[in-house]
Amino acid sequence: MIHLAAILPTAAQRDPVTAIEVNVKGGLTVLQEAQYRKVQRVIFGSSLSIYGTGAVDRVVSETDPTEPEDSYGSAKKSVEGLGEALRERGWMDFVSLRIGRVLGAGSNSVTSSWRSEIFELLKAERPAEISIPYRPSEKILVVHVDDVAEMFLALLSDSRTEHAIYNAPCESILVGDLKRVVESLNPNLTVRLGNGRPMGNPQMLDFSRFQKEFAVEAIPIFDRLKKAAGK
Amino acid sequence: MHSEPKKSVLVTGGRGFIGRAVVKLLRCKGYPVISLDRSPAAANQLQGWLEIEGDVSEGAGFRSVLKKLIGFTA
Repeated sequence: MIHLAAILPTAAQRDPVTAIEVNVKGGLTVLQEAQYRKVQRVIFGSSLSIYGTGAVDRVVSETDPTEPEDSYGSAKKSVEGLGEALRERGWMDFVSLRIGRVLGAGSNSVTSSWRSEIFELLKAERPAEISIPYRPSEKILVVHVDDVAEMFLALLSDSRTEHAIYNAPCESILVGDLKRVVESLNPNLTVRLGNGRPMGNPQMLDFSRFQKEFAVEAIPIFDRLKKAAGK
Repeated sequence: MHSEPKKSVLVTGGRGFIGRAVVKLLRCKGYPVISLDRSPAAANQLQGWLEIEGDVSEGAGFRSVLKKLIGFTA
């Protein structure tokens, strides 16, 4: 079983009751029923927001303390905690993948539409704007949705994972570099940057635990952008 | 030589951004997939996968989904 159902952070802020229902109660229900039905493995889609923002230069690994700053991250922490406890007792094969900001065409996100637009608008034949709310000097941890799918497949296929928790391999990219690359791939595109600091997620990540155990080679985001632009 | 039939995989949130990519990849790899999501969807049963509407926070509904999963094959 791969448990991905969740109310995302912005929607969770708008409707915290539903968010707790789905993100906490739903997660606990999934684990309880999976244990009862003897589901072979439960793979949980967790989030880097479980760590909180932290210091800019802090490289976080799976053994670092978790300090989520919102109900979304707290819910992920709760479900992970139960899953780990069940695994330690030998009652369930549980594994969790902590994922960064996911990019790629087709996200249908209203609040973070740039994550898809940087791919979807690359072949725009008319002038178009993309708004990214962060300053050019900020770093963000990103991963392409197709690479995330490959990581889940790896966790599903392995006979038994060594650990319960893995950071998903993500790239730390500068927002200013992202703007430069997107605009260079299509002169019709203008990427407007804001003054915000990316909050809730760390900016640097140690994902060596996943890399040591699984042979998933993520394609660099800028290479994916070039391919999507036909270059 | 015959390979072992792949076991069924339930993907909750299967119509979400990551969920759709995961379901697509699993189907490409030959896994029987049940995709569960709160979003309204026709109960499609195509070759090798099943898409149903449901809510993980509703225990009874989720239990019935797991019963289907146990008997689901490609």
